Amino acid sequence: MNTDNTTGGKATAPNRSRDDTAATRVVLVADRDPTVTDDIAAVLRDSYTVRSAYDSADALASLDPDVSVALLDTEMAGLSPRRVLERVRTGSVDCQVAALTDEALDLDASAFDEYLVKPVAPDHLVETVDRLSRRATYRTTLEEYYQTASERATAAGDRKERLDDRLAELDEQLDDVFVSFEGSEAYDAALRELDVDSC
Amino acid sequence: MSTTPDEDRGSTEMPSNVLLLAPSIGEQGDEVCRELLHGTGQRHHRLIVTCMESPRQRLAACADHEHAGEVTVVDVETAARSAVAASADSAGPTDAVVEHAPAETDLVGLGDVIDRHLTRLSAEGETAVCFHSVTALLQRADEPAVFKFLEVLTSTVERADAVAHYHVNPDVHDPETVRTFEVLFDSVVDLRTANVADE
Repeated sequence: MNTDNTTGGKATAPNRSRDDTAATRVVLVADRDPTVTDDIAAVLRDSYTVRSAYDSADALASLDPDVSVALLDTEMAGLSPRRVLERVRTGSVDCQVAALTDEALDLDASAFDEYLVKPVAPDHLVETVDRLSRRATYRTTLEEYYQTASERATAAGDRKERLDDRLAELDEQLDDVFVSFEGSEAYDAALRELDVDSC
Repeated sequence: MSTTPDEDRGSTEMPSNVLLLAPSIGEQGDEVCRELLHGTGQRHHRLIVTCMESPRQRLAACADHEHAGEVTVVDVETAARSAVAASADSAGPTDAVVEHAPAETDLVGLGDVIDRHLTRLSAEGETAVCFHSVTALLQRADEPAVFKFLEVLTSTVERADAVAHYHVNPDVHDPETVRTFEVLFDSVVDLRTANVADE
């Protein structure tokens, strides 16, 4: 099965499945070195739908609401963190962004959620993407939970009942992800706002 | 006063998270607060989060001096009630541990502080939490952010096997706002009607 959906051929914009499994979650990989991009994509393809982008235009074009995790080369020409993050966290795009770098980053001073020093060991890569993917799921589910609760506040009758059912489902999904968070990480996953000005 | 536990929580005698609709600073709210904090007699530790009132005011309102367990207060400072006022206020003996969270603390930072104390206290024994208040929090951050913060906090309380109640002044919010927040709690106690409703 070819799960790749590269930017050029935007074949299917899959229907956002509400209770999506890992395989339907989309990871965007963009490194200035096509070999690095392909190697990373190959590792992740077992568990995720992967989009590979080889230049900044493709990478930016690929950032749509389906993407839950983006791995981006900090040195790619034209792909400044500012441009990326202005797209992410605006409108409906709300994905976790990890920097592909040559050296460690101070995350508090950067606009990224995480960083990966190249070359990335496959185990560490998968572990990091899994964690970021859980954070992305928690964030988007929580946003929908809020929207639904807000809608329910003025609903009545059948509509309120339907919304109550939906809330119960979302609550369960949130609990499922919450158990994987340690300590206060859930607050960070739920509420962290990346500061575009710090790019 | 009695509260009705959630159906699927039938095994515990008290719901984990209770929203307390208390019209304004008044004795009835404080009385119910004391009851929720100390009522069962089995809860050994108290964690009090206060925003508008100083730690001493809050302790005076809801602490039970007969009680032997440990009391920790997280003082969420506001620009109007700064550290200076807080330190003047803390003159005189109090047995409580007080941690001050500066006015510029964001919700992630506040979650971090609360989580640290909740983890510590609940590792030592059963813990009851008073959160005073949702109304004050809505003055610091927008509604979606506060909603998400409380979803994480209520999950954390449940995970720690603690019980918590959250004060809100329904008179200063749109009824829609209060109804939106209701879904986060196991039970809602409305002191305007002295009605105890199951969420």
